[in-house]
Amino acid sequence: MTELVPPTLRADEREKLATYWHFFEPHAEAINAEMLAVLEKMPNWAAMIHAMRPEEVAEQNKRSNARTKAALLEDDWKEYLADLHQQGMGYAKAGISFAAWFEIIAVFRDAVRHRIAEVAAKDIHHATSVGEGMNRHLDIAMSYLGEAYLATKEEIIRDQQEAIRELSTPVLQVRDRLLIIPVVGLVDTHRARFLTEGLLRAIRERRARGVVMDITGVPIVDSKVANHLAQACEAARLMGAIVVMTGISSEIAQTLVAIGAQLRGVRMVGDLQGGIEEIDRVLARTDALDDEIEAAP
Amino acid sequence: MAFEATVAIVRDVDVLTARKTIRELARELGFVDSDAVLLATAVSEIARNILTYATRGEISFEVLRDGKRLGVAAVARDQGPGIADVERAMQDGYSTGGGLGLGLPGARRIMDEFRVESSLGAGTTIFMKKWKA
Amino acid sequence: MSVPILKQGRFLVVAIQDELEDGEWQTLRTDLLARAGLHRSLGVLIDVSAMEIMDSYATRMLDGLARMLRFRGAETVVAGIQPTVAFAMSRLGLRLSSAGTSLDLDDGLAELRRRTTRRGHGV
Repeated sequence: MTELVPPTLRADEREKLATYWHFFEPHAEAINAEMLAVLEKMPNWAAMIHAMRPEEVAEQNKRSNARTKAALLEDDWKEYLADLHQQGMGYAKAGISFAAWFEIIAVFRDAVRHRIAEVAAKDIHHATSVGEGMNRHLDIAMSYLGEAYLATKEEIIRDQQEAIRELSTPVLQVRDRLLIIPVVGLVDTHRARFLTEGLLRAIRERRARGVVMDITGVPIVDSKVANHLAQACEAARLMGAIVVMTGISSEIAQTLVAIGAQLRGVRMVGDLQGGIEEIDRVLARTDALDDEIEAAP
Repeated sequence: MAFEATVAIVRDVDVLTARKTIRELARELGFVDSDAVLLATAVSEIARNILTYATRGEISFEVLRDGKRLGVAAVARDQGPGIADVERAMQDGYSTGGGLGLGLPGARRIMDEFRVESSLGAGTTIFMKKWKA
Repeated sequence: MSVPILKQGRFLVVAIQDELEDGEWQTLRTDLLARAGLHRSLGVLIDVSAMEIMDSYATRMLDGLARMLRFRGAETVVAGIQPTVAFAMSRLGLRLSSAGTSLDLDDGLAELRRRTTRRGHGV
């Protein structure tokens, strides 16, 4: 894991964080107990809390407080930030929503605010500093935790998209040396690339001589998509394959013409079945010619 | 900027050196094969341009780090005649796709970031970046 | 260092090992044209399976070579363009318009035979 950069703090901010911590520390145990009681009743957290023994909870709080103290008093943020990062990743992986972990912060804030209010009358200036220190502390906590949470969520989504892409762009082998690619759904840049690379690898691995690319299931073909498809066909042809494209609607045909797509050498046939028959015909002709050449004196 | 490597582009064999350098760098950083090839091809085009239009120049490579993201940057510099109309040179009709002119449009399509600084008589500098997927 | 040219019947076969310098391209062109003329070759098969990168320069060289060979009465087939190379070429819009393409040497030879046979007369 790359080093987390500690927050940049002005001198007065550091002071307030320290003021807040000095105020908080004696109340720590009581506040933790309060929070536990509240969270126990919340559906998102109840299960997690009940999964831990009281000693474990106490131990965890002790360590957490030590880390926070080091950060707020000694400007040693390493352990504290690392822990926030872990939490963020954990919540994301556990499928806990943004709103849910936000709840914890809200409960904590209330617990501390009550106690600040109790001393506010005696020393408003001090109370204000404590309040500001708390806010700064929670802002920092939320930003690091939030960033880790979001980064993890994005990674999870990327993995899922990758899996979906794999499932949705199969390369089917039909008889010897003929591949069919039924393209279904929207084709964005990522998908087009995935599709093309998969096709080219398949051509090499299965020694395909013919490819039928069926785009019946592609709802939108704008100039970008048309280019992607044209590039895929072009690349396949560079590898010596005969390419037939099927399922081209009249709108798509117009788009292809409009972008001047150089689909030279790519045969267009109405439907998939027709496409397969076309390739069969072409391959049969070449096979016949090959036989003729062999037989020639 | 701390450069991993700088390749002087003076003779045609330097184009090959530039390609080799970026390819190795890309592989070291863990770029997938097809991306390494794309990068090397783009660099080859740019290096070839330098030779053809500016006679000599250099390409520098740098590793990029942004949090967990890794990438590579290349800066191609020459003191050649410069490009009068950068916009025109960058024009890339999807329809033409020939791109055998200056190779700029093709390289630009490959890179994540691509910027050209040039004017007549003042040489050309091209900044390119590609991030690992 | 010149690229070795092999003779296979009425065809010439050449395998380009990665990274040719400009001078080597010139030499290859001169050699191939000379040999094709000498043997009155009907076809030339160029194996590029070892080429990891094909840029516009290499593409122009190959395409130009194919055109020149055609003037000498020989067809050209470029065999073995790798998936990553084919992908990069298509991304850059690089095209081989004067040469056929094939998956590998075997297919390339078959393709050359098909392109150079005169139907009913055999080769």
